[in-house]
Amino acid sequence: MSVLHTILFYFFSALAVASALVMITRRNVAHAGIFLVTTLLATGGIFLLLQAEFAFALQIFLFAGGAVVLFVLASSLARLEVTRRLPGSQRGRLAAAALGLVLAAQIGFAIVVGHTSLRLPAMQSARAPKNTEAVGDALLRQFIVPFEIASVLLLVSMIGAVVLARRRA
Amino acid sequence: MNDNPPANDQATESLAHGTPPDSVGPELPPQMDQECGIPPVNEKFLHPRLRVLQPMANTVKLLIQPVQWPADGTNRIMVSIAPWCALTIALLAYLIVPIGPAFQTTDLNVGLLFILGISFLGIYSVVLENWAANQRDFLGAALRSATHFLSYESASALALVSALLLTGSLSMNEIVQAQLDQGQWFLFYVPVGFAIFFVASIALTNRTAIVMPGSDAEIIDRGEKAPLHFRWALDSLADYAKIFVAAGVATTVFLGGWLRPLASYRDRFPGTPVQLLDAVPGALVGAIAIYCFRSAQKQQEQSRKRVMIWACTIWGSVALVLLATLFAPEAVMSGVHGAFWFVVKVSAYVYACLWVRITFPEYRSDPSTNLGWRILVPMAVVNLIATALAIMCTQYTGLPMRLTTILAAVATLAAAIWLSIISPVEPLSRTAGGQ
Repeated sequence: MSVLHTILFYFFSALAVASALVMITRRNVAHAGIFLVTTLLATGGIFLLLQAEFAFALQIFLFAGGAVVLFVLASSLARLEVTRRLPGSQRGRLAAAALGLVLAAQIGFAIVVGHTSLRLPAMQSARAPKNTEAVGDALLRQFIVPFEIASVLLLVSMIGAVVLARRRA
Repeated sequence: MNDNPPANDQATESLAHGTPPDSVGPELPPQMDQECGIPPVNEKFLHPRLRVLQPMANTVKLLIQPVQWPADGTNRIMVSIAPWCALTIALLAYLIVPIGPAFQTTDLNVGLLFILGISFLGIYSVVLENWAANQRDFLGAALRSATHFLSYESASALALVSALLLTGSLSMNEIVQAQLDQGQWFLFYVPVGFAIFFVASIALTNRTAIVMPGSDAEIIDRGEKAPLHFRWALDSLADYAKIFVAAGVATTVFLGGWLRPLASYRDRFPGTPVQLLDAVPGALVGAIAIYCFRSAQKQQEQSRKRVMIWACTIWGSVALVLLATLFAPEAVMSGVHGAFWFVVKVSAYVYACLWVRITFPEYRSDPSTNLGWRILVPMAVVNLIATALAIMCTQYTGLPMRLTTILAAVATLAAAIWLSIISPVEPLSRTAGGQ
């Protein structure tokens, strides 16, 4: 791994972590949205460093692109003055802390276990293999059933949204 | 757009005095330069010999003009950053568009997805800018432009996929190579896809015909927004950059990229008259140079004459370079001529976009969203399925590709007509009032 690679990796990681921290501490929903996008883009940068170009493209396309809808909805629906004055509820904080602890424990466990047992392949230095095709192959051959079930789920949520909107109107 | 009241008094004045259109061409209306309400630099400011530099002087004036912020509560950092975002994002796409076999910065194997994703990020600049201005009208404009963008982005992506079926690769370079191997631009295999992409790209680059997102805010609040001149200039520049990106993508995917006309015949039949096409670029540019020279002699004014002679020199040297490469090694020639054909195709596409823009009136956002979702998206889906069927048909029965794709195009058009009969787009009068 070259020096530039290392520098870029730490840059993107620091950016991702820092903007994630800023995101969860903002009261203003729109500000939080902007930092959410920054986090997602920084993660995309790490994907690109790992030569996972397809994951990078999806990260930009789906997450960062989808977040714009979130941002628009959040900034137009949430009344800024109201959210600023809203006191955080005690129960909500407790639940969030508990969930966060569970997640941290899971990640810590995975790191501790994986550190000794998991052997990841070394990064290819030459031209990347065509991981787009590998992803397509895996999705449509190996994991076709889960893939189709996920698409049915999406369809159901879409129909649900249409039904809800119709009922309102 | 022509109905809008002029931005401010200075602009009205300069329109009345008939300022020379200084950018695109004599046919395009002077409103094009005036739409942002930028008062141009006084003509007497520059020495007559330097009159050519007038557009540059206007730009510098924009740069150094003091900015007046629209209202209290504006997030100034966001408002300043957003236009730069728009421009950077638009230009990033040219990282991977191949301008010639030799001129490509990098060839990602997810090239086309990268461009789509990057252009998706472009919507952030509009949304952030309008949000940061902290006014309700602007926020409405942001919402409208986001829905507008989403509706056309889906159609254009589906149209691109129909061409991708023929290559099986997302790399821009391999897409061009596939068109060389199959001996056909994909325009002729998926004409309907190209048409859909053309309409959608006009809508996406805001230069329309179809709608300018946020033009309501512009009308309501023009007096306040106009003083932010430099921001406006950057936004317009980003819009032009987006047209060039769309043109680059369309050229690469549908129009054969840097391939010259009849490129595959050149390799198949060496030494036949097809080879003579290599001389076309040089001859074309040479003809332009001669035209410039002849019209230089007809000019009355000294400064115009000088400009024409300069143009003649530039075109002439380009023609000489193009002709000289005929005798250079094959790699050099294909590189230079590839760049030539790419630039020609992109310019033609951009010109067509501008043409449409100044020919048609601007539509409101609701009929244009209707067009996106009710006509373009279903048509693109039908086109995708029909193209896939055509490819399968060719693989299994061995019918020529040209025949099956023509059948697919006809089927798509028939389906589109049927769709418009069974679910007609609501007339304007019903959607106009809103709730």
